[in-house]
Amino acid sequence: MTDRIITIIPIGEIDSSILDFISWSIEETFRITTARLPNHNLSSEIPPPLYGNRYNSTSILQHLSEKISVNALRLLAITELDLYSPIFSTLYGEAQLNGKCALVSLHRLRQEYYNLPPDQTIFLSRFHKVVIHEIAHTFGLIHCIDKNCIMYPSSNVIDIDEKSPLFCPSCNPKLLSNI
Amino acid sequence: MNSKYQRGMKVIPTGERKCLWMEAGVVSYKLCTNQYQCSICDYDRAMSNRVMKERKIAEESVDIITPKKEINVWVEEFRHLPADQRKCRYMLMGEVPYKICPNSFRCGECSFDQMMQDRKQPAFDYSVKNYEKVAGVYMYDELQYFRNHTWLQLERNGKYRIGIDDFARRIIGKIDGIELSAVGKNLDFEEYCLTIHHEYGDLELFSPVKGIVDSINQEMLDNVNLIIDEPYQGGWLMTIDPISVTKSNKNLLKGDEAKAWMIEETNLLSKTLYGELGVTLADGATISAEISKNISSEKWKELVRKHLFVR
Repeated sequence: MTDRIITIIPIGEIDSSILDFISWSIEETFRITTARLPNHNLSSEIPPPLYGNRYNSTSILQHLSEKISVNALRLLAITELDLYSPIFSTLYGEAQLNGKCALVSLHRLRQEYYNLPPDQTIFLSRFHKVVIHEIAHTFGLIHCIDKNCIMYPSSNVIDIDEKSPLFCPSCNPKLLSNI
Repeated sequence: MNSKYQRGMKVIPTGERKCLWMEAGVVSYKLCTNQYQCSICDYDRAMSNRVMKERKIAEESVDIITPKKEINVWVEEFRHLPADQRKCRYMLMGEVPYKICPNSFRCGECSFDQMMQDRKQPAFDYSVKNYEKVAGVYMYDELQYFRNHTWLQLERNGKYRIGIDDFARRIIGKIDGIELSAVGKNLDFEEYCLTIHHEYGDLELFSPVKGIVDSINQEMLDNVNLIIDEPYQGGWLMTIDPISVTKSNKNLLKGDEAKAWMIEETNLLSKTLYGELGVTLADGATISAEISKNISSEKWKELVRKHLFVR
């Protein structure tokens, strides 16, 4: 029987304070307990990076779904790696629709990536929105046309900053019925 | 409510423009829905016909008072109207600083109008337009979109310039060649008007509007890579002189409606390209211009059939 837990798995070194924040954030949003696995290093089964050190997120998701056996409702992987997929040239995160696994990259969420002064508040706000967005995909929600909804597809960090951290009146009932 | 009070309630919403017939005081309230393209406007045609009919009746029998006699009177007295009620449509559009209509708004008979329409139309200049990235796809507020991922721009001369949008060029990938319908061909609505040659097979796209092919982009035919490299600029395909604008407009998407449609298209793209993991959705994504290299030819054909409605 699957435990009603969302398990967080850091890929590579991730600051523990960031992980503490996102555990709290997930529990507040979905009302589901979180657990954390030790840091996981990607094996050589993952294809080498392409396009200027970007890793194939779909391959990482595949790896996680096959190799990581946890008795949890959902599995959220967090990485500092820059990601791409065969369909998308860049991305902040990818998740299985109605599936178990989600993956989020921190690489493009920091202000420093855009040659701006560091701002932890902005970074955590973006991180929260991307993580909740990806986990919601695993609960069956697709991209929403409401620009203020957290399920609006972000094309850049400005889109993330502008959208609300909440679900719109259309997405919220779907999420509640699927959790 | 008396008529005087009603006149005071005529509010022109922000961004909207008065119809020329309202500008001249012939009708009490009518907004332009056609970017002052009077030559292809059904309303203008109906009003002009009515004026001509009334004038004819008045000439045949001066004593008969017709219900619409005021229209005839207006035509006759047009030249005595104050200048601010006789602004030429090119002045209203800001294309000329000052021009008063000498011709009772009968643009079809106006030599100045003909001269303005004969000007060479500038190519779509993206540098001064408002573009936005929607679900990783570039879109322009000024353009209208059709559901087979063609874009349209209504030119000043009433013709539509058409091309393929950013989404289409990303899933097509690389073009080996293109064939367009000949200039002068009468295209029916949703009639196939161009063939794109691709390594996985030919794609036939249909026309988003009913009309006559007015011109084709010779520069693009000489260098088909322009379609992929500059889909909204140098890669435009052809201009079409529309036959029925009203019917065509009903099928075109613009603004928020177009953006919502594009998000649905990217959702559908992810669903179509499901793999061993099932359907995956991504955030912060820009659709790769190399999709065709990463999927099988069968999957690619399914993709272009679903999104571009190709034959």
